[in-house]
Amino acid sequence: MVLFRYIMRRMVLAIATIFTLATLTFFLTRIAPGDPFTKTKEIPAETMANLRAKYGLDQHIMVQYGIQMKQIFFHFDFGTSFRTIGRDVNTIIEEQFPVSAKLGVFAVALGTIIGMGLGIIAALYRNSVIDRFAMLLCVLGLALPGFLFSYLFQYFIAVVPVTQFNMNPDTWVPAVGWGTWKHYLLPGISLSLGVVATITRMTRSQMVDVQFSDYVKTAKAKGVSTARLVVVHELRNAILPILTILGPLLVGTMMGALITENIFGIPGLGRVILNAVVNSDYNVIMGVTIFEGAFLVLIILATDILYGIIDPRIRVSA
Amino acid sequence: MKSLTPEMFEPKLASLDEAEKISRPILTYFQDAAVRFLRNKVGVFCLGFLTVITLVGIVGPLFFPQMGEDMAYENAINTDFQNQRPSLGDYLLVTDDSWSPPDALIKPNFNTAAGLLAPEKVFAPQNFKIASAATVNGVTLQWEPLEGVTGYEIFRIAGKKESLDLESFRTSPGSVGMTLGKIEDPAQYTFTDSSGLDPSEHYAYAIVSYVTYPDSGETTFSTTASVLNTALVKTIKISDAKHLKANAETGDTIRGRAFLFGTDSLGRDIFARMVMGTRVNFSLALIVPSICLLLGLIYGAISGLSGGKVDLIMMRVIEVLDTLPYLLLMIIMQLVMGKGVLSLIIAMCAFGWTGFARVIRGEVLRLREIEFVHASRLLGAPLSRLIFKQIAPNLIGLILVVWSSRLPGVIVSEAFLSLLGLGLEAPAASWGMVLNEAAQQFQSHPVQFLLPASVMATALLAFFLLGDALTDTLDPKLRGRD
Amino acid sequence: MRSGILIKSMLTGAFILSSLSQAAGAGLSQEQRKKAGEIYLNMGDEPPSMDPTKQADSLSGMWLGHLYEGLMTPDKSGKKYIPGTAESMHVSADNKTYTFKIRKNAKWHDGKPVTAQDFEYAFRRLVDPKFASEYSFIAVTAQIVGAEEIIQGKKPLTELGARALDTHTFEVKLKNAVPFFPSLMAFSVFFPVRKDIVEKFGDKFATNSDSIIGNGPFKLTKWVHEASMRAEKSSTYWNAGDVKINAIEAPVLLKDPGAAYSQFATGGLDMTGLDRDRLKIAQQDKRSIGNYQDGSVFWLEMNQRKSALFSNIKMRQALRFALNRSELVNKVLAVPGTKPAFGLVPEYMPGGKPGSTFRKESSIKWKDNDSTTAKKFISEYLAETKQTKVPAFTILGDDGTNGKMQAEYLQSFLKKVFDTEIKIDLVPFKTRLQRMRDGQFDIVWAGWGPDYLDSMTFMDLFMSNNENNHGEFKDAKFDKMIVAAQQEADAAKRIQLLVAAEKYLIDEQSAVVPYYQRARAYVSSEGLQGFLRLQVGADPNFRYASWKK
Repeated sequence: MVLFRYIMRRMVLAIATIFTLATLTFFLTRIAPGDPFTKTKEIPAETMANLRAKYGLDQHIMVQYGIQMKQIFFHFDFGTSFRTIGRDVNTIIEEQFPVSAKLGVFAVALGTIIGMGLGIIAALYRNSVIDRFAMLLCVLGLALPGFLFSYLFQYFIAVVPVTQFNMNPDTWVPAVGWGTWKHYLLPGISLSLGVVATITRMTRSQMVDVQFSDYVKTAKAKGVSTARLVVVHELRNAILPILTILGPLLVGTMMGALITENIFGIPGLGRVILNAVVNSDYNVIMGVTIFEGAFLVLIILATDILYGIIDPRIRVSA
Repeated sequence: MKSLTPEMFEPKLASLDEAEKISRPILTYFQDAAVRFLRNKVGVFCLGFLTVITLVGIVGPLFFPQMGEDMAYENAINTDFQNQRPSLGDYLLVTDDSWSPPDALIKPNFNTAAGLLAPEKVFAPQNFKIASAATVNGVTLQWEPLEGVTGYEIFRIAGKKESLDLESFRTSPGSVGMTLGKIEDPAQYTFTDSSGLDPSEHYAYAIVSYVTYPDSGETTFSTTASVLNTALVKTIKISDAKHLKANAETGDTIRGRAFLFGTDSLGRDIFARMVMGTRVNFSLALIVPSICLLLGLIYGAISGLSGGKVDLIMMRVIEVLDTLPYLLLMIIMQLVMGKGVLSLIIAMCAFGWTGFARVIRGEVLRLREIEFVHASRLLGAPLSRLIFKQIAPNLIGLILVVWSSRLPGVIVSEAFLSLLGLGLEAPAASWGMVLNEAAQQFQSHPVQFLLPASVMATALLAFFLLGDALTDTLDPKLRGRD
Repeated sequence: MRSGILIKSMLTGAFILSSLSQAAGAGLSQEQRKKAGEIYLNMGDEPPSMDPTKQADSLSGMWLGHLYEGLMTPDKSGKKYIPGTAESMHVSADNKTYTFKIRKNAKWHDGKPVTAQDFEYAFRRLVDPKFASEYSFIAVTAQIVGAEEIIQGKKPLTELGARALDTHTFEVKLKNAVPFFPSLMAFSVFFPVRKDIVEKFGDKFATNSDSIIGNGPFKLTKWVHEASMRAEKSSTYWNAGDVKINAIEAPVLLKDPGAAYSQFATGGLDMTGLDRDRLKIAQQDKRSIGNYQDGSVFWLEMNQRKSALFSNIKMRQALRFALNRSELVNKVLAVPGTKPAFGLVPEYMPGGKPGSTFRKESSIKWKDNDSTTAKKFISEYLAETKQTKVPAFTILGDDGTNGKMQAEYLQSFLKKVFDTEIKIDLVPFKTRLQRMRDGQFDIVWAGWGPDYLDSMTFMDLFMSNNENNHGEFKDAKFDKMIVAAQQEADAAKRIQLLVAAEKYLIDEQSAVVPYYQRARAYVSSEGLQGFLRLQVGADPNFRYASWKK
């Protein structure tokens, strides 16, 4: 029963959060300079007036706000894009979100597996050469701009073998595009580097903490093997904080995939929102922001619920 | 062997006072930490390394060459020396400031009414040569104009002298080279190429003639080309040369400056820009995480300790902040605040503290359940005392790990924000701006990026290791390990 | 037990990965394309609209030019316009009435014949205030009778001077003679439009391959938004036998020039543009690199509102002489073909006499990088305004890498000449437009691409009432000169008037400071020939292209 009330409370608040996000985004887009129709070549005043009237942008801002909120929350309709005529925002999200999501999941899964592995090894051999080396990799992963890896991989792995070593481009790793499992490789690996860096550090830090706790020391003293020690005792406790951030990490990776999506020509949401911001395409900005915001909120909700189930102390105090 | 005396063998009387006396000197928490830190060789090394870099950043610019006219050296654009590799100073020809490419020359008394040549008779123009010195400002080509052609086309290839395939360039210049344009006046006999010349490369030019027959609309090109190749003379403008040698004159040869990291796409000294950038990035790295930490600590602790509705609302606020479109807000903020260091700090702090707050709240929730905190609350301690005296010391380990992981993050964020346009006002130099500009040229000039990137990566590594060393020394839980 | 889980998760992972592989063709290789007569391009960006009457930009323009055909169309040299869907064009003696005979064998992609009513519908749609096409002004430029009043809502659509006399005769009446009218008829907003298709699809017209029915050499067969487009040769085209390419496809949408070049290098694209950095790489890779005038001209626009620094003519003249165009063009932009500009009208614009160009008939000339004359004007300004130092001023620009480079170069260079503090204001694109409109700048560099092949497209920009005149140069004498040219019927005289207007604008008033005329570099697959790169209209144009055998 306690669990149920906990979940209910969190859901109500999640909805309130999304609503606040929608309101803030609405007003922020309207404050930002530029409107959807301005282009390098100025449009005659009458045509501009006609356009604004056609899309309902000439009404008072609160009226626009009311109309849009109603449309979004009661009909789940984000309207149409101002830049690309006739294209529904809902369709854009429907088509492109799964692409970003799949890439994101791949990158996070890959990054987590590698990261945890590296982190465990680094923790076990603390302060050794392996540890330092792993930390160096983390630094590089965080230090160098993400898009550089994308360029590097694209150039050295996809292009050079074809142009310098006569690899057949049809069977080799593709440089750009989307659609087959091969297209996941380069962008997925580039994106996973950031994840690896974060997870490695976290895992190592958590593992090191756990190594010094009493029950682990006891188990060690009793002669438990290292492998069993790591997996059964240490990992279980180290994993919890990592689970907490996996959700936000996924969303963060998806949002940060902006430039990577551009470089590899991947039809995902990152590209969409960048374009929308540049073009002041209000409806697209609203749609994608609210959708991704809702996604993030839901993921955090799910994580919190999970946390609440695992650690009873949390839900009682909530 | 020390001499033994009888007193040494007398039994020592146990004294309660003596037994209770603490024989080690009393050290505060931080004095203890300082001692332990100094024992950590890696940490000390990193600290020293970073201090050296900081000093270079502070003192270095004082040694920059004077450019006069309140132009800072690291911003001085030099179009004679763009995208050059690191060098210790080349010999340069002094040229006039007001040079501009000469106009194309037209042969007087050219017979424009001559009949068009038949396709088999279309040959490349002869006597193809360089009209004057070939410098990075321009290469002026000259040839013998042909009667009966519609015009000429000039091609160019560039590279290392040995790698230029002049034979295939001669037979099919269009398929291996870049066209510099068609010359549609058959009487023209000179052409100056100034486009993107790189003084460290060797250039080859090819010229072909072509005839367009008006009735059929077909065009025939000469089957082969006339070819020549040349290296370029490196130059320096006289106004700049005067800074190196006061009595320099046009036509002299002087020794140029050394460029330890080479030059960027506008000819600026990358090493100097990195040195100036140190000031910006290091101050940001220290200030921003500290502000974020303070904000996050207060917020997270209050949220965690209060629990209940307050906690819930506070966490929701953080969620909302995290899900706001970062990009959009950055653009708006830029309008409100403009560019500059202050707006950069505000932008980074505005979104940086939520991470701290979350983590701290998590730990606070855990620590709250610990007995001594319960005890203090029962005894009626105010929230502030709880935060600063009970919770904070226990959080230090976690805080330091997170804080030290933010230091490098700030430097990277600065690079990202510079890319978005929210950064320092151009043409100021910061590491992010230098790296961004160099990354654009990465495929054609990798060294330009790699050297500054290595510096940045090394500094970041140093920050990381320093952070680890600090964690090892300051975290009370970790005491007694090693 | 743990290893069991490990194995299970690995199997799951493998399963997920394999199920992620969708049935997507890898596309044809370059060899296969040559044999099949197909061309692969980079989509570049999602076209904002494929509605020809809207013609939002050059992206859609390229596709529209292949999917539709107007009354006139470019010939295979790209330099002349010949009848396209029209069989013949008859001009009245006063040059104010054009009568087009539509080809009897001109058909839409669904087989229906193209009629004059389709053109009438399109022309009316263009000026319909309810439709609000951003290019409606071009009907006014074309001087079509009634266009201006209809756009302003003062007259009904039926009063437009563009009428179908019968199913295959179309007549256009003009207020004044317009020498470049034939080339205008090749512009996409004048393409015919099927009323029944528009009504059938309503708002969704031209938003997917089903709702786009054209009358051109190619038919749109596939459009995956934000991902790819494909157009195949249409057998319904009246001249299908002359079309040698069987399909044009854009299998990827790549905004990043590095990615596009990588795709070209691995044989996935047949043509791609090169920015400055990609140009260097392409030269290193020993590729065949071409360039073409993309049509646009750039200049420095100065804020001339009251009390702005550059409202003073001496300062404007100083800037004109101070600029080192060749250094900017050669060292900063570094694309061969891009040339310094000494006038508003670019070199390719035709002049008044046949075979001549505008620039040949103009006498404007001055020395580039003339700091002596610039400094002379500056000291005159200082004496006039009784100051000792030029006040600080700001350069407005876009915040991309190119914009930054240009701005930094300008700042450094102008500092030497003007000897004052110069700040750079780099802002996002829409913000820059807003600032230009609000007059919050001192200098900004701006450019313009031609809407049609006549110098008027550049010249009327600086009339007092033109919204694109962001510096607000308001000069009644200049306005009069332009209006006189607009009303002049004789082609040669008209150009003379425009030449004089340009001299007044640039030389005497220095209203804007011409900067450079832009060229673009590109690489194309070996063996692809006959394609056109044009300043106006669909670019690149593959109507006459073919693969060498």
